Amino acid sequence: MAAFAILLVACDKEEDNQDTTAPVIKSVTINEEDHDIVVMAGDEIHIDAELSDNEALGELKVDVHDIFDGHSHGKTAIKWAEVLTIALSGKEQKVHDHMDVPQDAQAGPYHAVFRLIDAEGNEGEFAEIDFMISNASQPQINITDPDFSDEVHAPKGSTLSIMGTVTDETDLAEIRISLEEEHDDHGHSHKGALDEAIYEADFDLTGSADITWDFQVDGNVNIAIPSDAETGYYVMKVVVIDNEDNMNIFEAEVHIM
Amino acid sequence: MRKFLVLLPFLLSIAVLPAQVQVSGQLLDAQSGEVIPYGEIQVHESGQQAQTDLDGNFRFIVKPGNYHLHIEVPGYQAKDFDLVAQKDTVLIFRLAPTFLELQEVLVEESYSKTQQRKSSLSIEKVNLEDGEGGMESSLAEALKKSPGLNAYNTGVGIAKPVIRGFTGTRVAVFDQGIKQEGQQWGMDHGLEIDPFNAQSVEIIKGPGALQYGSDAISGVMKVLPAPFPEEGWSGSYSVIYKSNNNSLGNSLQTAYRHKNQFISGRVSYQQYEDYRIPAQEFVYNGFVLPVTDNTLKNTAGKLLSGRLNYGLLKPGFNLRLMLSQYRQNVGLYPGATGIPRAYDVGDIGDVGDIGLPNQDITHTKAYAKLNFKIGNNWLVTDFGFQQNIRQENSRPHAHGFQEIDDDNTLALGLDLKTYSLNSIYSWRAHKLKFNLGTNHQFQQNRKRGWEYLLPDFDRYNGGVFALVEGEFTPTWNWNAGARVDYAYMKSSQHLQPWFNNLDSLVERSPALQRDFLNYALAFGLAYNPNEVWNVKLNLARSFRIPVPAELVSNGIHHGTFRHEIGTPDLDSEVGYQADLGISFIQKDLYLKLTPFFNYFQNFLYLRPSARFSPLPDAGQLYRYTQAEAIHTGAEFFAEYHPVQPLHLSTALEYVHSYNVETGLPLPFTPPLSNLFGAEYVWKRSQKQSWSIGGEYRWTAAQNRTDRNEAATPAYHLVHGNLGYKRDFNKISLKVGLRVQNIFNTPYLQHLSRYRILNLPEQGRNIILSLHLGF
Repeated sequence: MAAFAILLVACDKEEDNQDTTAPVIKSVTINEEDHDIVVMAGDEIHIDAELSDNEALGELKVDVHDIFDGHSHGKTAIKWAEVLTIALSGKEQKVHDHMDVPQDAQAGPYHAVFRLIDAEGNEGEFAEIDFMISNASQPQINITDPDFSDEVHAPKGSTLSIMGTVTDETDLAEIRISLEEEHDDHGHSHKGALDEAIYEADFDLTGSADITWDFQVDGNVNIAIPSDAETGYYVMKVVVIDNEDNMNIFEAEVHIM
Repeated sequence: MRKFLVLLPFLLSIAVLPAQVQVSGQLLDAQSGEVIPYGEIQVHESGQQAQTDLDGNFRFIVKPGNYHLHIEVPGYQAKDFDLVAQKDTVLIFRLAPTFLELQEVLVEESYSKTQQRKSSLSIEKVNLEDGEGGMESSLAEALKKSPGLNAYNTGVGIAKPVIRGFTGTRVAVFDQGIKQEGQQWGMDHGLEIDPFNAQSVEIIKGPGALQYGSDAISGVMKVLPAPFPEEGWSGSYSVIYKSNNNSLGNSLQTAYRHKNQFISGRVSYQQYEDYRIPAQEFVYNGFVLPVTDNTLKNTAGKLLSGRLNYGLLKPGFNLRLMLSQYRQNVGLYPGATGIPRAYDVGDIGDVGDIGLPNQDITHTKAYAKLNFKIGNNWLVTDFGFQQNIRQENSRPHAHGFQEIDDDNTLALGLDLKTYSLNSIYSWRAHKLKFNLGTNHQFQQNRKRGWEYLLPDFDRYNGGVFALVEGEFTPTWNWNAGARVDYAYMKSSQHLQPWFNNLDSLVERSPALQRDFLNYALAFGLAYNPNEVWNVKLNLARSFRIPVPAELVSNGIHHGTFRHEIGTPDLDSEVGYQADLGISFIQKDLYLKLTPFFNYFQNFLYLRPSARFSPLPDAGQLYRYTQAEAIHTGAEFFAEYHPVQPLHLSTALEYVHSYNVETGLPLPFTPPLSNLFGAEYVWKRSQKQSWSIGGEYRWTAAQNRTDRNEAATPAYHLVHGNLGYKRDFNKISLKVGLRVQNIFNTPYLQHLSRYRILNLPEQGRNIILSLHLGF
């Protein structure tokens, strides 16, 4: 709140040095990782960033919020959103800071966007890190077959049967399962709707209080791999949402050959 | 006694003022001496029109008084004449024949039409009906053909006129007399005028602040009213199809005139799909994002516009009434309002429907203008009312501010009502023409929506001005003027709960009451030593009063995708301006050079503050700041007809801007560009003609950019057109085929909203147009 007051008052005309070179985020990590990050609700997350500019750094802004893509069945848990602005100085700086994940934050996919400006207001390219928040009451995905801890092969023309269960403490609301081509760049195309998926199924479980769901008994998840499918690595994704909007996502590679 | 009787009629005639006078005469070709049939003579103040017969003779009747005559005949240089009609008068006009299209027209200056050579300012004429070649694809494309003029566009369907690099609140736009008020400070707020209504547009490149007020510090764009229709029924129907976005536009206009009254109306409807660009992907922030099927998602739109006009001509006064409404709904590319996501922009969905985010505008105007004769002179008064309702719709995202219903898509709603009153009194004395005028405007802005940018405000703006025109000698015309303006603004405080702590209130905008008092001066000279050379010089001291957005806005403006903050204590912008125009005219060759120089004190612009916005997902704060700035450049135009039917032209423009305090250029400065055109018109007969032509545009790279503004590479574009014109007994037909961007060249346009995402402009566009006049 004080931020606005300061901004309205501080308008000194500083000398401009005509610097138009943008600052650079050399690296940024959450809990020392830049991908496959899972944090628990109630935990503290560590943010580390390496920044540099040709003249003088200005500020770093960290924006955290959910990327549940707008779906909602109920609004009892809170989607966590937070902003952190860090003042910088010098030409090079290593930033270390923390954020507290609320105890009651909704489980699901989130991301942190890092924006950097220098002392003259030059804007650098921004960086993003995706991470998952888990909490105690989120749905659990337990796939027993195939064993995704090893490489899973699916020959063309065969059927890939998924066995296992999805459970929740209170009530499952929706399950989305898909098998589609993997995308090379880990940037933005994590939900590429461009390519045709080999398998796509959406199970609407609103209404009755479902606490358990079986891949075979309830979903009949037997994926037919077309004989003319392209050889390569594909992603199998299971997205589960409960009635409190907690989301859990399971993603694993499938090698079609 | 007999002497007295002989003298009596003579004495009677001078003792009694005539109730009316007859003005008659002839139009002759200055070179051959031959008569000019079917020439048009218009009496400006009374609205009367006369046409010469087969012997070149004309005749009309007016009440005694001072009038201004306009004579425009295709193929001849236009002429204007000041008539003092106290008794029957005979006038012979010799018109110089010319091949040059541009020299045919008169331009409106202050209150009447004058020949370009007498005006001290540089005025461009823009026609949407591209001469012989069919219709231009849009008002933006029509503007770009003239040197010094451009358009800043947000996709297709949203465009703002740019004069020498200036737009928004530095360019005043008049639609048939009423000053267009539609939150024009916003870069993504397009001009809300039906392109079918903008058949004839005049643009003043240079300060028009004296006659037109504060907003016209850098230029004026005037959409001229259609002339009085002919007796009886008349009308026209136009249809235009554009292939790039499957756009279809229809417009029907009809008019009925009975003696001295007429009524006319126009209805236009246009609908278009998402447009196509010559690219399958674009790179933004290091990521490669898809453009599925070369289609830019959610850029479809539709537009419905209607207008009604009424006119009454009487010898002592004439009245014009106008009522119009413009409704437009146009989609905004979803990648432009936030960080573009592949899953979102990659799925183009239905290319015809307008999804979220989008802009919805309803602009209503009502206008009345009265020309009233007082003694020998004329008083022109007009009243106007307009309401601009702008809605920006998007998917609700509150970031915890408040609970927003999923169905509530009104992000920002602005309702602006403007009331205006203008009056000019013109008279002649001691061989000088005087104009004394006053302008008043009252505005009220009310906002709605779950996003905040601008508070409610009330604003009054009024001014008084005086203009004098005269001749030192017949070769030296001069004009001078002065103006004083007063403005008062009152805006409400806006408090909002802070997203992190919903119980605490934060002030987004302070309550503000400000007033401004400022003056403008202008002096101009036009030197016409002979029929060939013409030199113009215009010097002005102008001002621009800051608009409420520059003073008290505070929020994320999706038009620029920045968090913008106004500064409450800004001063008016003051500009010292010099414009020069040198032209050389012969029957088949026309050359014109128009350099200009502007020095601004307190030039208002958005400066990056080097502080982040505290709002979630928002980038840096940009604050309205003032600085000294220099803005200069020139245009060069040449038109040559090696043989009469062949037209060759070249139009070169250049702008150089400099922010004295930052040492950087001003943002959105148009790059150096040249448009070369060639057209051949084959007149099969008096009633039939064919035309074929092409244009080549070369635009240099723009590397002179402001902080955080991307440089734009050079590009070449080629366009072509084919046209056919035929006059039947009662119907006139014009058919046109135009191919814009023949080679489907991908190019980035510096003055484009979507350039920020490195998205190229439209690809090849085949435009078919048909115009029927009846």
